[in-house]
Amino acid sequence: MNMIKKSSIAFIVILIGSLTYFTAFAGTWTKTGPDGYEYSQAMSYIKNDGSYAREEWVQDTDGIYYWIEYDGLLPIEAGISADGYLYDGIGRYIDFTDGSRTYLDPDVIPAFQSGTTYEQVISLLGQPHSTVDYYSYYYSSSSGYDDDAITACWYSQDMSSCLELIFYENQIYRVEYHAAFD
Amino acid sequence: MKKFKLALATALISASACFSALAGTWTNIDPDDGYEYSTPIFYIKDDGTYARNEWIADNGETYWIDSYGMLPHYGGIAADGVWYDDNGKKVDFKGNYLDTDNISKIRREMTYEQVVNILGAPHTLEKTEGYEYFSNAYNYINTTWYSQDMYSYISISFRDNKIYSIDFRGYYN
Repeated sequence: MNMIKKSSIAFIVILIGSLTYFTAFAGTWTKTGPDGYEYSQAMSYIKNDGSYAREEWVQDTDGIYYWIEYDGLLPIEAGISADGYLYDGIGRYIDFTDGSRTYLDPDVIPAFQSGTTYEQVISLLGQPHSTVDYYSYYYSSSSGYDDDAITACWYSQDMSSCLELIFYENQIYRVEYHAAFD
Repeated sequence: MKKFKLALATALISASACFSALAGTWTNIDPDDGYEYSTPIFYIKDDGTYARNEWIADNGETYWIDSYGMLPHYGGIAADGVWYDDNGKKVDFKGNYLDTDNISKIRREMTYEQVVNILGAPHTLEKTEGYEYFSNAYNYINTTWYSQDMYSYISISFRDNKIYSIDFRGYYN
């Protein structure tokens, strides 16, 4: 009897311990910014010590790393983290280590012919750095394109240039290119 | 002599009165509901009425005023079929429409003249000289070219006659 009691207490302790550990590790996304402002979607991350993540990478439950800016908010455009890595327009880490991606050449304005397919562009530019449909993401509504539309973005290493392509029925439909040099 | 001076003064006054009448006045008050906008985007003509659905001439530029009496902030086609840009200014295509195939010929180090050699004369052009930024003075040239349907455009700004920024939007069918 005594034996059982002891072991169940121990079991409970282990359970509590692992639960705490898990929440601690995962952290919590919140719509409430560090300044108390209520955003329409989760823009901030509360760590296990109860403080907001600032100027650091946090790992989401799906394993993806997100960059949190110094103001405690997810970025709203692509950029370079304080430790020198590229993140996309919603703060996601862009992995260049597996060789499938290459940086956009900042010296060339990319031009395409009508009818260019998604595969043709990838053979030219490598895998996209981001495939987030930003319009749908931020406005929580359809961008007006069908579900089979693909949005793909590429960035230069210094983030001076960004290219966004929208493919519709696997053919190039719209190009947006922005570059700013200093 | 006195009479002549008076006549001259009168002529001057009426000439200036005539000028302001011709020029009209920009106002930030909406003619339909009296709402006050932060910027003057409505135009009162010399007869005191608001301009609507018409082109107005102001300071050497021609602007489209829409049916709400408002200066448009998106490019479009006026009632007479002529295009206006994002600032409501009449677009003079100068016979050369943006051909998106030419975009790839542009290089980062190019000067204004080199880009004009590729794309032709720009459809909008703004020059700012001696703009001060962190104790440096720069000369800027901001240019835009539009495709014939105005869906595609390229805006290039030059700083001290070197490409400084590029914005390009192209549609492909």
